[in-house]
Amino acid sequence: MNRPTVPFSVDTAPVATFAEWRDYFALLKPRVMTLVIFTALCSMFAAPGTIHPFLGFTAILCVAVAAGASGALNQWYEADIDALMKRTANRPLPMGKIELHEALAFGVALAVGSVAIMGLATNWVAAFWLAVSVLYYVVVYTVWLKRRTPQNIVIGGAAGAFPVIVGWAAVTGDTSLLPWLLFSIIFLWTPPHFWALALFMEADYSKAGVPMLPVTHGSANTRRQILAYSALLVPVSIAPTLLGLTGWIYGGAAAFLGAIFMVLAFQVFRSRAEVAAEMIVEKKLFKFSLVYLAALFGALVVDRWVMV
Amino acid sequence: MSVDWTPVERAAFEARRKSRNRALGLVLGALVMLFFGITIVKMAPEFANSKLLQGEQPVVPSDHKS
Repeated sequence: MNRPTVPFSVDTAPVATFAEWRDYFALLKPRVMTLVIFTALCSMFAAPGTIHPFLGFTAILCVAVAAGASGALNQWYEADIDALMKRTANRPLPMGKIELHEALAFGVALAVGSVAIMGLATNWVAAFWLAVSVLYYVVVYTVWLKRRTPQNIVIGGAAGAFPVIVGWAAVTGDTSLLPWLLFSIIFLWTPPHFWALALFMEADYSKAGVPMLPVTHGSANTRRQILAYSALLVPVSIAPTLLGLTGWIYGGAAAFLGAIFMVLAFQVFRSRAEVAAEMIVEKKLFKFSLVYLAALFGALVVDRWVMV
Repeated sequence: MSVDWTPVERAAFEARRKSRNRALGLVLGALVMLFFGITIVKMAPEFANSKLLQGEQPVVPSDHKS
Protein backbone atom coordinates (compact mmCIF):
# COMPACT_ATOMS: atom_id res chain seq x y z
CA MET A 1 0.00 0.00 0.00
CA ASN A 2 1.28 3.46 -0.79
CA ARG A 3 1.31 5.45 2.39
CA PRO A 4 1.96 9.21 2.31
CA THR A 5 5.50 9.86 3.37
CA VAL A 6 6.14 12.35 6.12
CA PRO A 7 6.80 15.50 4.11
CA PHE A 8 8.70 17.48 6.69
CA SER A 9 10.93 17.46 9.71
CA VAL A 10 10.37 19.55 12.81
CA ASP A 11 13.17 21.91 11.81
CA THR A 12 11.84 22.81 8.40
CA ALA A 13 8.10 22.28 8.58
CA PRO A 14 5.75 25.14 7.83
CA VAL A 15 4.16 26.22 11.09
CA ALA A 16 0.67 25.50 9.76
CA THR A 17 1.43 21.76 9.60
CA PHE A 18 1.97 21.27 13.35
CA ALA A 19 -0.95 19.54 14.97
CA GLU A 20 -3.22 21.25 17.44
CA TRP A 21 -5.39 19.35 19.90
CA ARG A 22 -8.22 19.78 17.40
CA ASP A 23 -6.34 17.65 14.88
CA TYR A 24 -6.09 14.78 17.36
CA PHE A 25 -9.79 15.22 18.10
CA ALA A 26 -10.52 15.05 14.35
CA LEU A 27 -8.67 11.70 14.24
CA LEU A 28 -11.42 10.31 16.48
CA LYS A 29 -14.10 10.89 13.80
CA PRO A 30 -16.38 12.68 16.30
CA ARG A 31 -19.40 12.57 13.99
CA VAL A 32 -19.31 8.78 13.89
CA MET A 33 -18.90 8.75 17.69
CA THR A 34 -22.24 10.52 18.06
CA LEU A 35 -24.18 7.60 16.58
CA VAL A 36 -22.24 5.06 18.60
CA ILE A 37 -22.79 6.95 21.85
CA PHE A 38 -26.48 7.33 21.13
CA THR A 39 -27.13 3.66 20.36
CA ALA A 40 -25.04 2.45 23.32
CA LEU A 41 -26.83 4.88 25.64
CA CYS A 42 -30.26 3.75 24.42
CA SER A 43 -29.21 0.13 24.90
CA MET A 44 -28.13 0.89 28.48
CA PHE A 45 -31.45 2.58 29.23
CA ALA A 46 -33.36 -0.31 27.66
CA ALA A 47 -31.42 -3.01 29.52
CA PRO A 48 -33.01 -4.52 32.62
CA GLY A 49 -31.17 -3.70 35.82
CA THR A 50 -29.42 -0.69 37.18
CA ILE A 51 -25.98 0.79 36.99
CA HIS A 52 -24.50 3.55 39.11
CA PRO A 53 -24.75 6.81 37.10
CA PHE A 54 -21.01 7.41 37.37
CA LEU A 55 -20.22 3.90 36.11
CA GLY A 56 -22.81 4.37 33.36
CA PHE A 57 -21.10 7.60 32.35
CA THR A 58 -17.74 5.80 32.40
CA ALA A 59 -19.13 3.01 30.21
CA ILE A 60 -20.41 5.50 27.62
CA LEU A 61 -17.09 7.34 27.75
CA CYS A 62 -15.26 4.07 27.08
CA VAL A 63 -17.56 3.25 24.16
CA ALA A 64 -16.97 6.72 22.69
CA VAL A 65 -13.20 6.55 23.16
CA ALA A 66 -13.02 3.04 21.71
CA ALA A 67 -15.00 4.23 18.68
CA GLY A 68 -12.61 7.18 18.41
CA ALA A 69 -9.64 4.81 18.63
CA SER A 70 -11.14 2.73 15.81
CA GLY A 71 -11.51 5.92 13.77
CA ALA A 72 -7.90 6.92 14.42
CA LEU A 73 -6.61 3.47 13.45
CA ASN A 74 -8.84 3.53 10.37
CA GLN A 75 -7.38 6.88 9.34
CA TRP A 76 -3.86 5.61 10.04
CA TYR A 77 -4.40 2.71 7.65
CA GLU A 78 -6.29 4.68 5.03
CA ALA A 79 -4.19 7.85 4.87
CA ASP A 80 -3.27 7.04 1.28
CA ILE A 81 -6.84 6.80 -0.03
CA ASP A 82 -8.02 9.65 2.20
CA ALA A 83 -5.56 11.88 0.34
CA LEU A 84 -7.32 11.03 -2.94
CA MET A 85 -10.90 11.79 -1.91
CA LYS A 86 -12.27 15.32 -1.71
CA ARG A 87 -14.38 14.43 1.36
CA THR A 88 -11.35 13.18 3.33
CA ALA A 89 -8.35 15.02 1.86
CA ASN A 90 -8.39 17.64 4.63
CA ARG A 91 -8.05 15.10 7.45
CA PRO A 92 -4.97 15.55 9.70
CA LEU A 93 -2.95 12.66 8.22
CA PRO A 94 -3.29 13.50 4.50
CA MET A 95 -2.62 17.14 5.42
CA GLY A 96 0.64 16.08 7.12
CA LYS A 97 -0.36 17.60 10.47
CA ILE A 98 0.06 14.32 12.33
CA GLU A 99 2.60 11.63 11.49
CA LEU A 100 1.48 8.06 10.81
CA HIS A 101 3.30 6.54 13.79
CA GLU A 102 1.73 9.17 16.08
CA ALA A 103 -1.76 8.27 14.84
CA LEU A 104 -1.04 4.56 15.33
CA ALA A 105 0.23 5.06 18.89
CA PHE A 106 -2.69 7.38 19.68
CA GLY A 107 -5.24 4.85 18.40
CA VAL A 108 -3.70 1.83 20.14
CA ALA A 109 -3.34 3.69 23.46
CA LEU A 110 -6.97 4.83 23.39
CA ALA A 111 -8.25 1.37 22.40
CA VAL A 112 -6.33 -0.47 25.13
CA GLY A 113 -7.14 2.19 27.73
CA SER A 114 -10.87 2.26 26.99
CA VAL A 115 -11.17 -1.56 27.14
CA ALA A 116 -9.22 -1.73 30.40
CA ILE A 117 -11.26 1.02 32.05
CA MET A 118 -14.52 -0.56 30.84
CA GLY A 119 -13.49 -3.85 32.45
CA LEU A 120 -12.48 -2.20 35.72
CA ALA A 121 -15.49 0.11 35.94
CA THR A 122 -18.31 -2.20 34.78
CA ASN A 123 -17.54 -5.82 33.90
CA TRP A 124 -15.28 -7.85 31.61
CA VAL A 125 -18.13 -9.06 29.38
CA ALA A 126 -18.69 -5.46 28.27
CA ALA A 127 -14.92 -4.98 27.96
CA PHE A 128 -14.68 -8.13 25.82
CA TRP A 129 -17.35 -6.93 23.37
CA LEU A 130 -15.74 -3.48 23.29
CA ALA A 131 -12.41 -5.06 22.33
CA VAL A 132 -14.18 -7.18 19.71
CA SER A 133 -15.79 -4.04 18.23
CA VAL A 134 -12.42 -2.27 17.85
CA LEU A 135 -10.65 -5.33 16.43
CA TYR A 136 -13.55 -6.03 14.07
CA TYR A 137 -13.59 -2.47 12.72
CA VAL A 138 -9.83 -2.16 12.34
CA VAL A 139 -8.75 -5.68 11.35
CA VAL A 140 -11.77 -7.27 9.66
CA TYR A 141 -13.28 -4.18 8.05
CA THR A 142 -10.48 -1.64 7.46
CA VAL A 143 -7.47 -3.87 6.81
CA TRP A 144 -9.01 -7.04 5.44
CA LEU A 145 -12.24 -6.39 3.59
CA LYS A 146 -12.80 -2.71 2.76
CA ARG A 147 -10.52 -2.71 -0.27
CA ARG A 148 -11.28 -6.28 -1.33
CA THR A 149 -15.03 -6.61 -1.60
CA PRO A 150 -17.96 -4.40 -2.62
CA GLN A 151 -19.84 -5.98 0.31
CA ASN A 152 -17.46 -4.06 2.62
CA ILE A 153 -20.28 -1.94 3.99
CA VAL A 154 -22.37 -4.99 4.92
CA ILE A 155 -19.49 -6.46 6.90
CA GLY A 156 -18.48 -3.08 8.32
CA GLY A 157 -22.04 -2.56 9.52
CA ALA A 158 -21.42 -5.02 12.34
CA ALA A 159 -18.67 -2.79 13.70
CA GLY A 160 -21.14 0.04 14.21
CA ALA A 161 -23.63 -2.37 15.76
CA PHE A 162 -21.44 -3.69 18.59
CA PRO A 163 -21.95 -0.68 20.93
CA VAL A 164 -25.52 -1.82 21.67
CA ILE A 165 -24.12 -5.13 22.89
CA VAL A 166 -21.50 -3.31 24.95
CA GLY A 167 -24.04 -0.93 26.48
CA TRP A 168 -26.38 -3.78 27.39
CA ALA A 169 -23.56 -5.91 28.84
CA ALA A 170 -22.30 -2.95 30.90
CA VAL A 171 -25.64 -2.95 32.77
CA THR A 172 -26.53 -6.65 32.89
CA GLY A 173 -23.15 -8.40 32.71
CA ASP A 174 -24.35 -10.59 29.83
CA THR A 175 -26.19 -10.43 26.51
CA SER A 176 -29.63 -11.71 25.52
CA LEU A 177 -31.94 -11.81 22.48
CA LEU A 178 -33.04 -8.15 22.53
CA PRO A 179 -29.54 -6.61 22.26
CA TRP A 180 -28.72 -9.01 19.43
CA LEU A 181 -31.92 -7.93 17.65
CA LEU A 182 -30.82 -4.30 18.11
CA PHE A 183 -27.44 -5.34 16.74
CA SER A 184 -29.21 -6.85 13.70
CA ILE A 185 -31.21 -3.66 13.15
CA ILE A 186 -28.06 -1.51 12.94
CA PHE A 187 -26.34 -4.21 10.88
CA LEU A 188 -29.17 -4.22 8.30
CA TRP A 189 -29.61 -0.43 8.44
CA THR A 190 -25.98 0.23 7.48
CA PRO A 191 -26.04 -0.96 3.82
CA PRO A 192 -29.02 1.18 2.69
CA HIS A 193 -27.63 4.14 4.66
CA PHE A 194 -24.13 4.00 3.17
CA TRP A 195 -25.09 2.83 -0.30
CA ALA A 196 -27.49 5.78 -0.60
CA LEU A 197 -24.48 7.98 0.22
CA ALA A 198 -22.22 6.00 -2.12
CA LEU A 199 -24.65 6.52 -5.01
CA PHE A 200 -24.20 10.29 -4.97
CA MET A 201 -20.53 10.12 -3.87
CA GLU A 202 -19.64 7.43 -6.43
CA ALA A 203 -17.11 9.64 -8.25
CA ASP A 204 -15.09 10.13 -5.06
CA TYR A 205 -14.93 6.40 -4.24
CA SER A 206 -14.09 5.58 -7.84
CA LYS A 207 -11.20 8.05 -7.80
CA ALA A 208 -9.81 6.49 -4.61
CA GLY A 209 -10.22 2.94 -5.95
CA VAL A 210 -12.46 1.86 -3.06
CA PRO A 211 -14.67 -0.98 -4.34
CA MET A 212 -17.99 0.47 -3.19
CA LEU A 213 -20.99 -1.25 -4.73
CA PRO A 214 -21.95 1.60 -7.14
CA VAL A 215 -18.35 1.61 -8.42
CA THR A 216 -18.05 -2.15 -8.97
CA HIS A 217 -21.61 -3.22 -9.81
CA GLY A 218 -23.23 -0.03 -11.04
CA SER A 219 -26.08 2.02 -9.66
CA ALA A 220 -28.91 -0.33 -10.79
CA ASN A 221 -27.48 -3.22 -8.76
CA THR A 222 -26.91 -0.89 -5.77
CA ARG A 223 -30.53 0.30 -5.91
CA ARG A 224 -31.75 -3.32 -5.91
CA GLN A 225 -29.61 -4.15 -2.90
CA ILE A 226 -30.76 -1.04 -1.03
CA LEU A 227 -34.34 -2.23 -1.50
CA ALA A 228 -33.46 -5.80 -0.47
CA TYR A 229 -31.71 -4.76 2.75
CA SER A 230 -34.52 -2.32 3.58
CA ALA A 231 -37.02 -5.15 3.12
CA LEU A 232 -35.01 -7.20 5.63
CA LEU A 233 -34.53 -4.28 8.02
CA VAL A 234 -38.21 -3.44 8.53
CA PRO A 235 -39.41 -6.89 9.76
CA VAL A 236 -36.33 -7.28 11.97
CA SER A 237 -37.00 -3.84 13.49
CA ILE A 238 -40.55 -4.95 14.37
CA ALA A 239 -39.44 -8.37 15.65
CA PRO A 240 -38.76 -7.24 19.27
CA THR A 241 -42.44 -6.35 19.62
CA LEU A 242 -43.67 -9.49 17.87
CA LEU A 243 -41.50 -11.58 20.22
CA GLY A 244 -42.89 -9.75 23.26
CA LEU A 245 -39.60 -8.12 24.19
CA THR A 246 -40.90 -4.57 23.74
CA GLY A 247 -44.30 -2.91 23.85
CA TRP A 248 -46.39 -1.32 21.17
CA ILE A 249 -44.88 2.15 21.55
CA TYR A 250 -41.71 0.75 20.06
CA GLY A 251 -43.62 -1.56 17.72
CA GLY A 252 -45.79 1.28 16.38
CA ALA A 253 -42.77 3.52 15.86
CA ALA A 254 -40.88 0.71 14.12
CA ALA A 255 -43.82 0.02 11.77
CA PHE A 256 -44.39 3.72 10.98
CA LEU A 257 -40.73 4.57 10.45
CA GLY A 258 -40.22 1.33 8.54
CA ALA A 259 -43.05 2.20 6.16
CA ILE A 260 -41.41 5.54 5.33
CA PHE A 261 -38.04 3.81 4.95
CA MET A 262 -39.54 1.29 2.51
CA VAL A 263 -41.25 4.03 0.46
CA LEU A 264 -37.95 5.92 0.11
CA ALA A 265 -36.01 2.72 -0.64
CA PHE A 266 -38.56 1.89 -3.34
CA GLN A 267 -38.20 5.39 -4.80
CA VAL A 268 -34.43 4.93 -4.88
CA PHE A 269 -34.96 1.56 -6.58
CA ARG A 270 -37.18 3.20 -9.22
CA SER A 271 -34.89 6.20 -9.74
CA ARG A 272 -32.66 6.23 -12.80
CA ALA A 273 -30.61 9.30 -11.87
CA GLU A 274 -26.94 8.90 -12.75
CA VAL A 275 -25.63 12.36 -11.82
CA ALA A 276 -25.18 13.34 -8.18
CA ALA A 277 -27.04 16.62 -8.63
CA GLU A 278 -30.17 14.73 -9.79
CA MET A 279 -30.14 12.16 -6.97
CA ILE A 280 -32.81 13.80 -4.84
CA VAL A 281 -34.43 10.63 -3.45
CA GLU A 282 -31.05 9.06 -2.75
CA LYS A 283 -30.09 12.08 -0.62
CA LYS A 284 -33.52 11.97 1.01
CA LEU A 285 -33.08 8.29 1.95
CA PHE A 286 -29.61 8.98 3.33
CA LYS A 287 -30.89 11.80 5.54
CA PHE A 288 -34.01 9.91 6.61
CA SER A 289 -31.95 6.84 7.53
CA LEU A 290 -30.28 8.95 10.24
CA VAL A 291 -33.64 10.15 11.56
CA TYR A 292 -34.95 6.58 11.36
CA LEU A 293 -32.28 5.12 13.61
CA ALA A 294 -32.45 7.96 16.12
CA ALA A 295 -36.26 7.80 16.32
CA LEU A 296 -36.33 4.00 16.53
CA PHE A 297 -33.89 3.85 19.44
CA GLY A 298 -35.59 6.82 21.09
CA ALA A 299 -38.89 4.93 20.89
CA LEU A 300 -37.21 1.86 22.39
CA VAL A 301 -36.12 3.83 25.46
CA VAL A 302 -39.56 5.39 25.92
CA ASP A 303 -41.19 1.99 25.48
CA ARG A 304 -38.98 0.24 28.03
CA TRP A 305 -39.54 3.03 30.56
CA VAL A 306 -43.29 2.79 30.10
CA MET A 307 -43.12 -1.01 30.47
CA VAL A 308 -41.14 -0.71 33.70
CA MET B 1 14.07 24.59 16.43
CA SER B 2 14.30 26.03 12.94
CA VAL B 3 16.52 28.97 12.21
CA ASP B 4 14.38 29.55 9.08
CA TRP B 5 11.31 30.52 11.03
CA THR B 6 10.26 34.11 11.31
CA PRO B 7 9.29 35.38 14.79
CA VAL B 8 5.62 35.20 13.72
CA GLU B 9 5.99 31.55 12.68
CA ARG B 10 7.81 30.69 15.87
CA ALA B 11 5.08 32.35 17.95
CA ALA B 12 2.43 30.41 16.02
CA PHE B 13 4.29 27.13 16.61
CA GLU B 14 4.65 27.83 20.31
CA ALA B 15 0.96 28.73 20.58
CA ARG B 16 0.01 25.40 18.99
CA ARG B 17 2.37 23.48 21.24
CA LYS B 18 0.93 25.27 24.27
CA SER B 19 -2.64 24.41 23.26
CA ARG B 20 -1.64 20.74 22.87
CA ASN B 21 0.04 20.69 26.26
CA ARG B 22 -2.99 22.28 27.90
CA ALA B 23 -5.30 19.74 26.27
CA LEU B 24 -3.05 16.88 27.42
CA GLY B 25 -3.03 18.28 30.93
CA LEU B 26 -6.82 18.46 30.95
CA VAL B 27 -7.10 14.86 29.69
CA LEU B 28 -4.71 13.60 32.38
CA GLY B 29 -6.59 15.55 35.04
CA ALA B 30 -9.87 14.09 33.81
CA LEU B 31 -8.38 10.59 33.93
CA VAL B 32 -7.35 11.10 37.56
CA MET B 33 -10.89 12.27 38.39
CA LEU B 34 -12.35 9.28 36.54
CA PHE B 35 -10.25 6.75 38.46
CA PHE B 36 -11.01 8.52 41.71
CA GLY B 37 -14.75 8.40 40.96
CA ILE B 38 -14.66 4.72 39.96
CA THR B 39 -12.74 3.86 43.13
CA ILE B 40 -15.18 5.71 45.38
CA VAL B 41 -18.21 4.09 43.72
CA LYS B 42 -16.67 0.60 43.82
CA MET B 43 -15.64 0.96 47.46
CA ALA B 44 -19.14 1.90 48.60
CA PRO B 45 -20.62 -1.22 50.28
CA GLU B 46 -23.92 -1.08 48.40
CA PHE B 47 -22.11 -1.16 45.04
CA ALA B 48 -19.24 -3.42 46.06
CA ASN B 49 -21.76 -6.24 46.19
CA SER B 50 -22.73 -6.73 42.56
CA LYS B 51 -25.60 -9.05 43.57
CA LEU B 52 -27.46 -5.86 44.40
CA LEU B 53 -28.11 -5.63 40.66
CA GLN B 54 -30.22 -8.76 40.90
CA GLY B 55 -32.27 -7.23 43.68
CA GLU B 56 -30.57 -8.85 46.65
CA GLN B 57 -29.78 -7.00 49.83
CA PRO B 58 -26.29 -5.51 50.04
CA VAL B 59 -23.82 -7.09 52.39
CA VAL B 60 -23.19 -4.57 55.15
CA PRO B 61 -19.93 -4.97 57.11
CA SER B 62 -20.58 -6.12 60.69
CA ASP B 63 -19.08 -2.99 62.23
CA HIS B 64 -21.79 -0.96 60.48
CA LYS B 65 -24.56 -2.78 62.34
CA SER B 66 -25.88 -1.19 65.46
